[in-house]
Amino acid sequence: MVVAQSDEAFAALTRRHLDSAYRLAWAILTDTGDADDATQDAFALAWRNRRSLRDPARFDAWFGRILINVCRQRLRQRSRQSIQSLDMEGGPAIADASQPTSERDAVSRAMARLDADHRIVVILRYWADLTVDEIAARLDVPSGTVKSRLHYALRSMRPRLEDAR
Amino acid sequence: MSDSDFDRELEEKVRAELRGSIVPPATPFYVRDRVERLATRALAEPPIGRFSVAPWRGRVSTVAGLAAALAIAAVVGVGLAWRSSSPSNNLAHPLVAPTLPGTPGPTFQAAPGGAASRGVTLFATAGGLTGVISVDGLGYQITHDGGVTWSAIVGPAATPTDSDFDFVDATHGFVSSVNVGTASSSVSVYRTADGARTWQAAAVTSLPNQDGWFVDAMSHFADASHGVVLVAYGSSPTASTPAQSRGCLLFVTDDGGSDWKAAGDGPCIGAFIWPTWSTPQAGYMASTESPSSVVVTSDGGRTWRTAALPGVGDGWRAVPQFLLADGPAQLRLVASMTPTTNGQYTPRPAEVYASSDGGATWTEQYTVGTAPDATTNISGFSGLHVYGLSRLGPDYWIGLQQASDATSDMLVRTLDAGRTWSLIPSTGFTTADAMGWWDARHGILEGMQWTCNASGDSCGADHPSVFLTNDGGRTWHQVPF
Repeated sequence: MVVAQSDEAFAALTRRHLDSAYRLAWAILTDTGDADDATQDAFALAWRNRRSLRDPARFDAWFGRILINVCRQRLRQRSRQSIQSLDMEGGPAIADASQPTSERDAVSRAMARLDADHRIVVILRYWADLTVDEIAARLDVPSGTVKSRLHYALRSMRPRLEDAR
Repeated sequence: MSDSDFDRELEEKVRAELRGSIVPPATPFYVRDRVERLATRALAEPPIGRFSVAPWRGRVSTVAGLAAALAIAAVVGVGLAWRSSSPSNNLAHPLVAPTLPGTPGPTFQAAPGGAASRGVTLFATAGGLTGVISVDGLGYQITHDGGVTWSAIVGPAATPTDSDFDFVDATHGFVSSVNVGTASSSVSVYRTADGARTWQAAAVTSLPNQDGWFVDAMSHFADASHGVVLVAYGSSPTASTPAQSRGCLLFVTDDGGSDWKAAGDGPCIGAFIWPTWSTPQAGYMASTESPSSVVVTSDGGRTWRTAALPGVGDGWRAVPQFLLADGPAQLRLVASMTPTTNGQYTPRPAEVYASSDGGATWTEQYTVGTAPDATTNISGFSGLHVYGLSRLGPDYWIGLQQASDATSDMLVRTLDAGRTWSLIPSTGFTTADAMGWWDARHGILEGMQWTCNASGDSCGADHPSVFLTNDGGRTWHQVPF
């Protein structure tokens, strides 16, 4: 079988980025099943649209946006389901047990009440350590929008974190 | 404990808790199998074109890799609200970029309490050679000499969650704050007239709290006397119309932030967003709900105009990236082009628009050219290959571009307002996330300098750092925080 060099190269890129993609999806969704599906969906979309990636050097950003969009869709779908908050209310499946339970639960509860867009910027900023501009780039929104979402998210989380003190 | 301590503490608390509690498991074998099957299936299909993978240079931290790649691909302004030492309307910048040979940089001194290199956030504004950065673990650091020496900012008594210090010169700086009380939320502006050594607060307004509402504020000063505060409030920051219970208020000061007067409604557009300031006078906002329009000010935020951008449609929208003020009413706007639907992304070059009426109407001017890189195509989603743009002269812009091997970034410049680009040979940094310039020689950059192991097959860096140049970007020196 003759295989296109471009497809081989694309396959190499997907393998190279699989683990980091899965980690980010899991951080956003905090659910193994959702992270599994989101990762697979994102790579399926990437394969389907690989003709649009003309420069492999851009794969990170190109695929990153696809992955974020898939995760956002799953968060929104979850918010419309009656069982939506069970996973997130319970906190991450794997946690550092050395931390005080009340604080860990407080962060989890506060995060659970954020909508998809605000949850994503909080994860990208404080878990993935991306800058505001980097987040804006990934979400394709102005930096001001990212800042305002961070402001709103932290402000809405603050009372719950204060209560946990 | 002060609000300042708490806000800073809140961010650190969230960061620590998230890092401690969100620990993703390893990629399950079945996910790996599924993704591999996608590849197997696709590889059995007829071929589609050719490209080659850039050589992988070994380990780099996940965050670093993401940061570098993301910053490149998307096409963002530097986002620093950078304030040049020369007013934008005073076109005293050289028409030709400096061609000085590389000169030795200064000996940089570690900031008080400095330790190992840490994460750095460039969010500062500057005047003269003043700049402010945030360093993880060291707080806000200020320089008045272009980065040769740094000192910690003490206070103000309260800062917003994600502070934006706004310095108009070496001594006058401002920062807004929202204090959420039991019954109301108060907006204040803190000002310093002695280079951040002491701060004074002035109340701007107070809004009664309503269940679930938010109040947020942003201050901006065109000079040491004239400033504005934009206050946004409502039930949701993403509410798009006043009917959805949101609003924006505008307050102005003419005495350096001591007394504030209400000036009616602020510029509410689509989603709740803040303006990006290109110069002390010129700022803009672009709504994600009305993406092909832009809201601009050319008088430091006192008046705002909304206008549609022509020439887009048929599945494309324009995303403003870079606003230039050539005069009180003369504006130019660089807008990248992004598809409006998911699916196929065919790059479309960025466009430059011009306005002669302060942003009320715009006309399409020309297409932004491609920076020289033998093997990098214009790609990605937005069709603008350069990010972190800064304006050093009327048509002299400098920016960053990812190198073709995807493992480093490079400086590029244009002398004809984006029509053509050339490479600035530079040393001292490997990757860059953001950049700002005090003048045509003195610049500051947030990025990384990779180091390699003995065999050279593994290169990377653990933390972003601050780099400075005093020769127009040819040589960069890392600040040893």
